Amino acid sequence: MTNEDKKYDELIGTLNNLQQVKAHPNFEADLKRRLNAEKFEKPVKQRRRFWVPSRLVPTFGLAIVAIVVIFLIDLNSGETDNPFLIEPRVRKDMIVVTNEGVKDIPEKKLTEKEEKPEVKLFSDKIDSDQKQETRSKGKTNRSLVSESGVTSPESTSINEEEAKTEDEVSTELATGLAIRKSGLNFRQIRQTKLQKEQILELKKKVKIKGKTKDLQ
Amino acid sequence: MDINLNALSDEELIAEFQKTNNERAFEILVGRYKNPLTNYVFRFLGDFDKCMDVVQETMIKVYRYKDNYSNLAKFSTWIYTIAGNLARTEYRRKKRRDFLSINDYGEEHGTYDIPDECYRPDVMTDSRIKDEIIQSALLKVKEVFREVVILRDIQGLSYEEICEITGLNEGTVKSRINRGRAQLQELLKDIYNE
Repeated sequence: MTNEDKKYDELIGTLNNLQQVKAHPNFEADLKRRLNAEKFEKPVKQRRRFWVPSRLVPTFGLAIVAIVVIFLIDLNSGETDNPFLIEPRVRKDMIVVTNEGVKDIPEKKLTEKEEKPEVKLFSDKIDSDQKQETRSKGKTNRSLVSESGVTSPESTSINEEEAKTEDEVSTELATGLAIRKSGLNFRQIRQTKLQKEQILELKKKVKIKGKTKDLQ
Repeated sequence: MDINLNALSDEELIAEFQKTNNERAFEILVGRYKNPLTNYVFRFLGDFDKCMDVVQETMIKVYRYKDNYSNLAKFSTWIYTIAGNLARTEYRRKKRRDFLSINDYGEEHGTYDIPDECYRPDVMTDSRIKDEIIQSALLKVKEVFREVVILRDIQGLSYEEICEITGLNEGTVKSRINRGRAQLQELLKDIYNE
């Protein structure tokens, strides 16, 4: 007997003195009956067990649920993995061109550099056209242009303005609210007072001439 | 023939049953172990009907799986292991049932089925109440400690046998026995004070 056993001596004695519980007298008979029942039980084959409806129904149910779940998961994954919806990867080795550098350059310099050749080209074209016209008609707009002291592209705007009716011109002059080419970002000709007076006088003369012709 | 079989040891009987399928050998083994196993399982479960089912199931397993037994182990430890496993399974099932049951009032009010009075030892002795108190105290001891305490102090098995039955090493078995005894003594201190 160890020290621990001595420590619990009284308890061990109590437990040892507990009365033994015995099996009931029919124990052997019951056991035999159960054993015989097991012996005469027909062993059911595994295959047959599987095809029992009580097993088939839940298995089919589970299979259907699994298919539905897989289908749903696949759809979701298709949406997320759509290559057209994914932004392309930014390649570090590629040179990216942005407008940020352009902004840093002063505008004046750009206009000077870029516009000058265009103007030259445009004026050359017009000159050549005008030469052709003078050859054919014998009249040029160049004289008007030279008088007004405006470059060739500006002369086009003058021609267009002249094409307008007199009423429109008058309303424009009166109100100043009409839409002008200056509002459309075209080059604007600023006439001096003298020029304006000259134009008005010419218009008046034209009107007077027209009236006299009518009267005659 | 019968006399010869009765004189045989447990190991010899099971060997006979294995070789010749002699059911008389099996019956003798049942006769030898039905009461010790009933006592062990009843003390563990506290339910006589369930106890009888477990012991019968143990015997059926011995009958069916007789070939699984090898002479390396003692027959008693083998049959106790089977009974212990089945008892543990039944106890856990019972605990689950009680937990899910609406009529569960907790451990204090837990009712365990009392066997028929003819077979109840506490009815036939003067220390009936004392036995009931000890049984209820045993059921309050933790499962792992209770098992080894029953095997050691009620069934009177050696530490080696308990080690074989439970599959634990001797140190663990001794420690569990001591802890189980301590719990039990704490629960039964009122009895000892009287």
